[in-house]
Amino acid sequence: MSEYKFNRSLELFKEAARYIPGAIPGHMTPAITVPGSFPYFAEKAEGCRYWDVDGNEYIDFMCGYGPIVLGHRHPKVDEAVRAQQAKGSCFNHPTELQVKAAKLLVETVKIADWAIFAKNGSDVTTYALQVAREFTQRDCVIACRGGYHGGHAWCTPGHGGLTPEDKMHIHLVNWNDFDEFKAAVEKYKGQIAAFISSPYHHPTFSDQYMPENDWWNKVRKLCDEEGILIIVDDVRAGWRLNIAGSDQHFGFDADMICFSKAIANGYPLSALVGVEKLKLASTRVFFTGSFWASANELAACIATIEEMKAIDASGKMWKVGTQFQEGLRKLGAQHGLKVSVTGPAPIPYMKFANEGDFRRMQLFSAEASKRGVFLHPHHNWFVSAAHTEADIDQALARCDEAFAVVKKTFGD
Amino acid sequence: MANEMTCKCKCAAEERQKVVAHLNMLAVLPRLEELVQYDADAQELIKGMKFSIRFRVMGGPSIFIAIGNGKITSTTDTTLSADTGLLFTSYEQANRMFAGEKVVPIPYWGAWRMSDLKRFTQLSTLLEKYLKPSDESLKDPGFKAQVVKMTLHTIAAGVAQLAEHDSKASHWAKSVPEGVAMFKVLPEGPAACISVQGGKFRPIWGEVKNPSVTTTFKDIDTALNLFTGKLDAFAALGDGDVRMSGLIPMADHLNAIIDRVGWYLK
Repeated sequence: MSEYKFNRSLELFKEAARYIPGAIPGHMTPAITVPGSFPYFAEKAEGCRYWDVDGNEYIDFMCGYGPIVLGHRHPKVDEAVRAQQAKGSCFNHPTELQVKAAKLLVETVKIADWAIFAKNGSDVTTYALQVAREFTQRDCVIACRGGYHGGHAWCTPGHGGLTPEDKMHIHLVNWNDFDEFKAAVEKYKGQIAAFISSPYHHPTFSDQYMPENDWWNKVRKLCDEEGILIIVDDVRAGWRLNIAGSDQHFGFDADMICFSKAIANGYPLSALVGVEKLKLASTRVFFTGSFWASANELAACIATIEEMKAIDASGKMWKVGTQFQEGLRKLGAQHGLKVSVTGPAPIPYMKFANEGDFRRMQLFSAEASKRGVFLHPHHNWFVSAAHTEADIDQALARCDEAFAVVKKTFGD
Repeated sequence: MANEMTCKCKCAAEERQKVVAHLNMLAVLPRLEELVQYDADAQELIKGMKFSIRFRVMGGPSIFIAIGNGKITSTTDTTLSADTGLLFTSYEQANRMFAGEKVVPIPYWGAWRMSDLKRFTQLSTLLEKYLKPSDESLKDPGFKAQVVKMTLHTIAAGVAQLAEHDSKASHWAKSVPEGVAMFKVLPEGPAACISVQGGKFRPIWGEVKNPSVTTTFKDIDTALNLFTGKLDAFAALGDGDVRMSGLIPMADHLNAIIDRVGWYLK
């Protein structure tokens, strides 16, 4: 197949730069992909594929950076949205859908006794911290180095516009290092409201790390002893590992779980769920937004959850994700390249094990992109329930060519 | 609360003086070396001159500058003995002098050599032409290229100073992965690198083999516009005028410190 060109993307980017700071701000900035070898603007999508503004077609392994869990333009989800849209979406009051969606979340997520909705992951991670502080009447929070919990001042990985006070109560420990965690609890004894963490560690520019050495059980036990709440940031992993919550996949119970991304198959929605004892405290934390009760997204959420359960979406993603991970390992070995494939199968990632600077990975992902496989060089990937065995086979065949270019360029 | 805020503002002002003094003495003043390599007026000024001077801020940085054989060299080596030693009693006093105000530092060593000091002052004025160039002067391509080279060197040296003395930057510096970040203007330079090892930041002039991350600028104009805050870096990365390859988090964290160098030197 002929390699893709990105002329229209570049044209639009130049125009965007005139009107929008950074042209494409945030995580979609081409600055952290391989500029010139990746599309910048999308045109349309269906299932596990999308097309950019130059008409190039991609097998999508980013799924909108996670939200597309059932596939783009899923007919049942979109129909639910259309039906609600016909009645209206943004009212002076919430609709019955808000009650239905909350009830469905409580029935679906194991630890959930209540649910509250917002729009973005950051909305609910920040709210969860406030609820924990209100409940415990403590200020400090422990989080993991390299963990991502959104773009608010207390957790942004950026530097601009912050004051030293923004993060003064956030204390960082290394993932899987229980001794360090215990030392932090000891150092700030009686002051820690919560431990916030993703269910497994998925930093950018890195392999992904599963919990090891009984990490979660030890953390849970110590938190119980010290009156510290556990907030699982399931914004990225939520629904893909286990629809009952990723804490259940890893064998423990969280106190609060933050969801977004996949919760409504691409429609903007986030939710915080929590255990009963936190319900009253949560009412004492002011929490609102103009669009947080909008009905369209809640209709999408209900349809997404029902469809995920009906088709065992998580099971499908584990299956195709495993096929993709094993295929990449096999191809890497065939080319004599050292690949490191990490993460749970529905959220895979690959890098080259013999480099710290990502140059092979940048070349590999650029070559894959030019052949119609969208794989981010530095950020974990996502599969959806719309990916089929045949899609994975096709993606692997194109990855084979990308591996060959890496081999030719770097040798090992 | 009011007292606390007053104290905080005072501390911030004191820190600013300290950081600017370190930048002036250890990132800007050493650019005299490159000035006399390029600028004919500067070469004329130091013709036949043999003179060394040490600037020192009480409780702060110190720099030794030697002029001889048509060259200028500088070092932070404190063991070298200068013809003249000038002491600033505070960071603020040093900064006022570098800003062109009439300040009389204390000669703590040697004698005042008025003619040499006068020529040194003239060199400083010439240096300012390059570090704060006028639009008119930038129409000369050779001058512009020299401006970019000296600015790049100021930035590389300045990052090391901020990583040590600026509280925000030193906090960010902890996030910078170890390695060497190279910045190069295409097609043929200039280039400079910042090495980060064991928490220490060090500038390196020119290119290195196998840097951890490489940032290239399409041409002199792109580099100049970026250095002077006229270019949106993210947009430049997207349209390919600026390219990054390798360990991007290193360049990303360094860029935050670089922006702060620019803010201090405005």
